[in-house]
Amino acid sequence: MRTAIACLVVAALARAQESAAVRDPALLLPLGTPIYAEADDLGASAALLARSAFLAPLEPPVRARIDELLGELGALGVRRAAVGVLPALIFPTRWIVLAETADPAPIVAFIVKRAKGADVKPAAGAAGPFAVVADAESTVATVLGLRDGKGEALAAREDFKRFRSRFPTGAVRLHLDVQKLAPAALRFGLKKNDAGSVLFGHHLMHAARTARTLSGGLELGDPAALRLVSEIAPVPPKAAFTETRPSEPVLAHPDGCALRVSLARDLRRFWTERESLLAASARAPIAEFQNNLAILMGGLSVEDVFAGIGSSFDAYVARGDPAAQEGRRYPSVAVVAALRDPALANELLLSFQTTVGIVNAQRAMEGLPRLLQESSQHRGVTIASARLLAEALPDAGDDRTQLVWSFAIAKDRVIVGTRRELVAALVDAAVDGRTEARVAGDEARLAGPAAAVLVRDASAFLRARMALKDGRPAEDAQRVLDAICVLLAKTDAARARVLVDGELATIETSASGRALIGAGTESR
Amino acid sequence: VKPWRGPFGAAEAAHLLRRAAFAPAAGEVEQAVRAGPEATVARLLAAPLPDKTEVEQSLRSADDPVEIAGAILHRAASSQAPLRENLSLFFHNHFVSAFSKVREARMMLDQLELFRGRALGPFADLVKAVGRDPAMVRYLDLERSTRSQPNENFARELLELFTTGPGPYGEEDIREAARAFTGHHLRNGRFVFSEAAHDPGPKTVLGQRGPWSGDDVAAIAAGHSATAGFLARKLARHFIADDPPERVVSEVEGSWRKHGGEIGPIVREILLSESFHAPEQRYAVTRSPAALVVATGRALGCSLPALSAARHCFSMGQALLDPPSVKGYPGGGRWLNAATLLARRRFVLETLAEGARKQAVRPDVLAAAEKGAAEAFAAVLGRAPSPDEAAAVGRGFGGAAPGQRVFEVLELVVLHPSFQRC
Repeated sequence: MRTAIACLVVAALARAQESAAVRDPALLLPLGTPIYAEADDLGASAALLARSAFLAPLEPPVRARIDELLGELGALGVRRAAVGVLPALIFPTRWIVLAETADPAPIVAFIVKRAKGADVKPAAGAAGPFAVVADAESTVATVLGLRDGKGEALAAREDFKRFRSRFPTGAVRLHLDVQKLAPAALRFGLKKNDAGSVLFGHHLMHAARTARTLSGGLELGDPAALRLVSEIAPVPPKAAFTETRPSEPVLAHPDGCALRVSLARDLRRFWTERESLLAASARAPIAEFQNNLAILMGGLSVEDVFAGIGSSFDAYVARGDPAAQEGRRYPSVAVVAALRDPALANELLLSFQTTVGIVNAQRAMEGLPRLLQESSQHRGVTIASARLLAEALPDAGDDRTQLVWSFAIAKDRVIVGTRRELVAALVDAAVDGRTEARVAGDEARLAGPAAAVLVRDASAFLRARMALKDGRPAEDAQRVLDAICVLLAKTDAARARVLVDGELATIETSASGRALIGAGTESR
Repeated sequence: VKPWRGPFGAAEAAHLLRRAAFAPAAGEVEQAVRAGPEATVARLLAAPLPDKTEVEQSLRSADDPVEIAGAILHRAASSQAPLRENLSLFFHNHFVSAFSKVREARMMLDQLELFRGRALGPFADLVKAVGRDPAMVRYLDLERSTRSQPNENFARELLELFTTGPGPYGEEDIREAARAFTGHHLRNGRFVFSEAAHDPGPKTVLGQRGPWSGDDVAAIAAGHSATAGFLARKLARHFIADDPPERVVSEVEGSWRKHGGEIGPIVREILLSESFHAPEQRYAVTRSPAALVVATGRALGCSLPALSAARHCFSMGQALLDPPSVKGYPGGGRWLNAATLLARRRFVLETLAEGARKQAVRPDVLAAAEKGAAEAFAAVLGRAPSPDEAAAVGRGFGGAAPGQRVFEVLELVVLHPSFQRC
């Protein structure tokens, strides 16, 4: 009797041990699985997403399809779930779904329905706490073999371990073996004949071209956040013009500022490396730029100018001219650059005025309206500006009168904008020393309610653009804009950051707002 | 002009709507048959000038010619006055200006609006208005024309291309006419008459002597007997055939003289004439790319977004707002060559793909295409195909079963010569 009891205890312990051993679904997936995703509480996440404000701007048919999908996912009654996919070029793609549920039947039915007519005949089994559903019996057998210790599992892979350590939590987590899915040799490179594209996008293209893995995690709280991390080849020294540790602080956002985009670029280094970064076809425009800059900057060389300018550039977007008609109001935009060499200040101011003069001469030759140059003092800072005179334009309320090109140098900042008031507000921030620390990498920060105001301000332009580009009727376009405004109004703050540093590329996005997640269902 | 006394069934109604209104929209053929030809033409002529669209208003400061061309196509496709739109494109190719020189979207859009507004009125008034139109003043250098240095560009084109055509005038007429238009200037983008720059002295233009102003010379040129023949040929090429018989041109010229150059009544007579409805004139006019874009939208019920359509227009050989020269687009059969035919095919394929994506194809056309090629042909073109046409479309279609490959059927119908022409 005692022996029998001991046997039962040992057997129960063994089952418990087996259960514990396979609580990690990655232990049940083959070592070479290139696509892996897992969710801790699938039903709850689906319900949260379905109720969130994020879906509000979607087209009704798309929204309906997503609602249906989320509803079906929620109805599966699954808490923890993981998916592994093993694409194959010649053989059928293998896939495995592991779900913490006793009954795999609803999952099989879901997959068959979603396969949309493809000849999918899932096989099912059980491994520890998971129901196993896979593309074929042989795949289920592989999973069961891994459970029994036959072969190596995904969890043992080094890159997978790093993924787990980077993303220990999150509603949904994802890991891709990019090198296996798309070998680097097959990936396209950056077009090097456009200096602007190289300057702004070289680091991203380097990341896309050399990525070995891509991992991600989605948090559905407040803030809602999505973070993606890619392991890449080290950034070559010639491409280090994308500064990862810029030091100049950011000027504080002026009131009503809806968006700030900050880029960190070392123009001097870019200029030095231009021969190796750019194709030969880009040399002509570069030479033209070199000549024009020398003319505008009183004979200074590009090297002198770029050496005198800092490595961080911030674009601010705020409300436009309040006197303009609602719906036809341009947002105002200003760009701020740090100035390292104070001796450049006068040259830059004069170059602004010279540029306006050249533009005016050109426009005069073509019979086009010219710009009036003005200059005023604000907090002891000269703001030079140029604008079209309303009296010189045939249309009453010509949209172009909203643009007042303005230029100022305040302390160690060069500020250029499309509206004098925004430039003046940034001058205030510079003079008062109102700044905030700059984060590493490229960053965008959005204030949702202020952005919603901007969308309403420019709604007529946006409707026209949607009619032209998408063929949308005006009423339909307005519905989309209204839905975007609703979402923006609920987004207290949103942020996106891109950092390509060393052997990692990181993209972070987040949005906060009490009504964003878990709010009542939005409809358009 | 001899009026059409024959039957006015679906084929005749469809023909009329193709020529006058780009293409019949859903239900329009039946409506026209019920109303009869006179009432249909009267309806087309009486359609009031609609307000400017929001797209046009938003692009008045634009500097991308493709966007502005898109605004014009958007207006033409959505207009309730298709005959005015049709004539505005006709006059855009007659009184040529180009954005590449004018450089102000507002001016080009206003010029098209001028054509729409005056498209059916007296031709002389239109010519006068064109002489004061800011886009034209800039395009043909009137703004630099002064009594001490008259610029002859506008005067030359006024006579050679806008009114009499080559022949009845000489270099002296051009010089004298140029003097009359001195002082037609722009200030702040608006037309102004500069008394100081104008030459008020007597001039002799086309045999008439007097202290003519620009308006006077416009009226003299518009009223010249050669203008009737020159414009009659152009109208006949636009409405009747790429290469109209001389008899037909003479008829239109007679109508021009009878109505004193008032375009609305002339167009009315053309559209109700025996020559217009003669069976040999069916599909005798090659659709310009812009007309093809609008016609495809009306016939199928779906269209590409205007910006994309404008790009296709450029690929098909018509850079709207930027004609290749002051003579305008060559037009007629020259719209079609190996390159432009391929571009037309790409346009049709993309339009159908857009229709499929947005599920926007006219239900009656879709239902017909599901039945077969001949039915689709009838639905799109408003008439049954001839045995040869049915065989051609059927061959191209590969004899697939009815109800299948609906969009392949529609592609073949829209690419058929009977749709590429009208």
